Amino acid sequence: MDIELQKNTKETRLVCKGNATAEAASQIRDVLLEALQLTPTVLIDVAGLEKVDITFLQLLVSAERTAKESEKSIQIDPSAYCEVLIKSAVRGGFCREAEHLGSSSTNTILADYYTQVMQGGDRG
Amino acid sequence: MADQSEYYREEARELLELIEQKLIDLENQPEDTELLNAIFRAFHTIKGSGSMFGYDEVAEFTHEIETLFDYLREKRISSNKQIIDIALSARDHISDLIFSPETLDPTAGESILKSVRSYLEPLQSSPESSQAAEQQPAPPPVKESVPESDALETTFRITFSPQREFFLRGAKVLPLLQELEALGTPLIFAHTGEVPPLEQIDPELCYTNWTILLTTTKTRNAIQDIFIFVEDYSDLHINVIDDAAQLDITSEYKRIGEILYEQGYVDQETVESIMKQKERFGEVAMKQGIVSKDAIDSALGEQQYVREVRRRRQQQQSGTTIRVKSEKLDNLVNLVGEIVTLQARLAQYTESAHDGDTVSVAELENVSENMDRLTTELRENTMDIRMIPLAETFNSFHRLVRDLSAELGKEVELVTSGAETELDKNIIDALNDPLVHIIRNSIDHGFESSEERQKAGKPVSGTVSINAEHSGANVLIKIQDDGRGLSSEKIRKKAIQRGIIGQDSKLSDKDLYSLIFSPGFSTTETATSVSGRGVGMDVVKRNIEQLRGKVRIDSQPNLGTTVTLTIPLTLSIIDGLLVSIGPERYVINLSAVEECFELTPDLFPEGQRNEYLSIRGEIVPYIDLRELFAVKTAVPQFREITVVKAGESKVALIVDSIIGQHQTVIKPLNAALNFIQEVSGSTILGDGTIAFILDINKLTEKISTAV
Repeated sequence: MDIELQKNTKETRLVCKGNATAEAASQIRDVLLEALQLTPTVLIDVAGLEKVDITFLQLLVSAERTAKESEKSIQIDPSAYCEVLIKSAVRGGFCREAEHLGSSSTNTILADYYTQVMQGGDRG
Repeated sequence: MADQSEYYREEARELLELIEQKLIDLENQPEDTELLNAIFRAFHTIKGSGSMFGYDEVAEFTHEIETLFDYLREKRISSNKQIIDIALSARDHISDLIFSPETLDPTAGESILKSVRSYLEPLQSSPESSQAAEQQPAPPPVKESVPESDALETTFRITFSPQREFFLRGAKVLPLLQELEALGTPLIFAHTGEVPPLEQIDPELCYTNWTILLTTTKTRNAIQDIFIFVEDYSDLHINVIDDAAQLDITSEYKRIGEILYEQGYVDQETVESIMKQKERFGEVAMKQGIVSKDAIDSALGEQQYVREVRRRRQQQQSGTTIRVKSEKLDNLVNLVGEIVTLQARLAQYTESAHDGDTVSVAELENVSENMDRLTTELRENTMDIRMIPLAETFNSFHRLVRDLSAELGKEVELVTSGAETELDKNIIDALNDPLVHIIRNSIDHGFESSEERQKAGKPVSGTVSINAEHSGANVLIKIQDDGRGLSSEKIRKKAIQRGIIGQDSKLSDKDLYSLIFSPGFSTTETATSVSGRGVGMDVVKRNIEQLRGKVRIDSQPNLGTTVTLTIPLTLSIIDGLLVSIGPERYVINLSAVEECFELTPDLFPEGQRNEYLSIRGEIVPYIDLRELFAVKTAVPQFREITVVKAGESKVALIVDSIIGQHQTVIKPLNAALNFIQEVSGSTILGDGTIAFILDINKLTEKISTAV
């Protein structure tokens, strides 16, 4: 797993590549924590992810919870299309097709990404 | 994190040992289903865990071995020495793949799979190609092939809660959910309420649990099999929340409170207290912090999902039109005309009253009487429009009988009578499947072979006759065959074997025959594709009971068997007798009522309360409905009796008072009240209150059991 942390004045961008699975979970948690301390806004670039498991999805939920508590914002960059993440999030029940009620879950980070991507975000 | 693959190797070693032992046992007991299940599960676990722990080659190879054992379990192929040999080689190959991949013969796996496919492919290909495959020496003949499309769909709610250490044991969730997708299209809800913020999270622990809704033709066991290798470190509940085998009168589904109660998020008391607030349950429960938004989301999702499943099913079942005689529509239009005229008269009276003119009681009574007459006629006319003859249904059975008898090499003729008998369209639609089941059973099991019939001095060709006729507010449909009749001894033996009755149970032939309707009962030693899976007759009984009907079976050795269905003419409106018991009011189907009179002490034999009443010298068992429903209010000085009849049984019901006749629009019971056996539905009275409809069949059954 390769995570690059790019900071500018407004936001911190986390560029994730490789396998976001249990083996890399501690590393991902540490980088997410660090990023949230740097700037009020964190954007995750998931385009380079090759494999995702539940530990990563849970970490995204956890990061969103942390950001809310400290009045910061974290989101997945919808311009970075990642099929693996979308499939895993849907399969794992973290977001659903719009026609099913209850898609507005308490954890909006994955649901927001899913909605934005499905509404035709840039897939480049 | 611990070395995850070590867990897998340990587990695989044990499972491979078990497979070896069980395969040897299977060679001696090839029909032992338990052995087949155990071997199937062991291969399944090796496959499932293999894919979770990165042993993809093992998973891929084992998949086909698992399929072979699945077919053996389903009796699509029979176990033989060659299969045992192949399975043992497969077991050795898996062992090599896991423990000594370096010494592996690369061609061994492919050669084993080739042998396995020689059994599987004939069953997976078209009928034409399976004929060609029969010429090959290896595969044994197909015993049974159950077409998947014939199976009814069931919707399951699966709640899956892994332990915190789930991931540490190397287990993964997504492959499990992916496997569920192979059974149907699941709707999955992840509950993440326990996921802590980053500062507190241990990223290798599992904080999420899942609710999964799945509509599938597969069984609960098939779902359980998917979770089998994680069952030691997770909590799994699988509940049926919708079953296509049961007839839906409505597409409605449980309320949010009920769903949350079933899912264990709230207790009954909380549900009742929130319901009293007459606001949206979810909003109140969330506002008060009783349940999380996740839980509400999944309850709402479940409600919508099941409604959609039911709506789709209803559309498939009733998306048809009916042909109505123009005369019936003309009558309807005339009635509407009369109602409009009556309404105009009523409006005139109201206007007169406003202007200070008096309207006489006689005039109002006249309007009321006319309205009463028109409502009754309108009801009867509308119901009549829904009534269609049984002819079309009966006609479709000629083809069924022809094809089935040809398939089974029997000569059977179908004779129908009373095809002009009319029934409510919904009932006719719902009757089709039970009738098909009964006819199938009759042809498959009821008839002897042509040779046996000849020997018994019977005509070579057997006859199935279906007769329909009116009987009061019911229609009786009799399905009669002139076959060998039921063997009470065989039924008895099987019932003991299945644990349905005890060794020493002494049952009459009639009671023994009724055991055929027990779930899972089948007297055939081997299932056939026609019937004999033991799922037919209990579904027949359940479906007929859902139509508020009854099913009875009579049989005489060598003369044949008769199944009689008693079906109410309509599902939606009945003429009822309104009675009161304490503060509540109940409705009794008027067609079941024989007589009503006052309860006097002389009705009790010898002046004492016991189990019977003496009505004009006839001994009739009675039920005091006050006692049955544990009514605590003061007992009125004068009480009344209504004598009801269901089938052969007559029962006196003691009520507080008989209010009178009531046109009853039947509403299905709320799911929470389904446990009340003596009540079959409810209705809304003129004053807006609710009255329960008593289930006379259940009440009479109750008393005959008690007596």
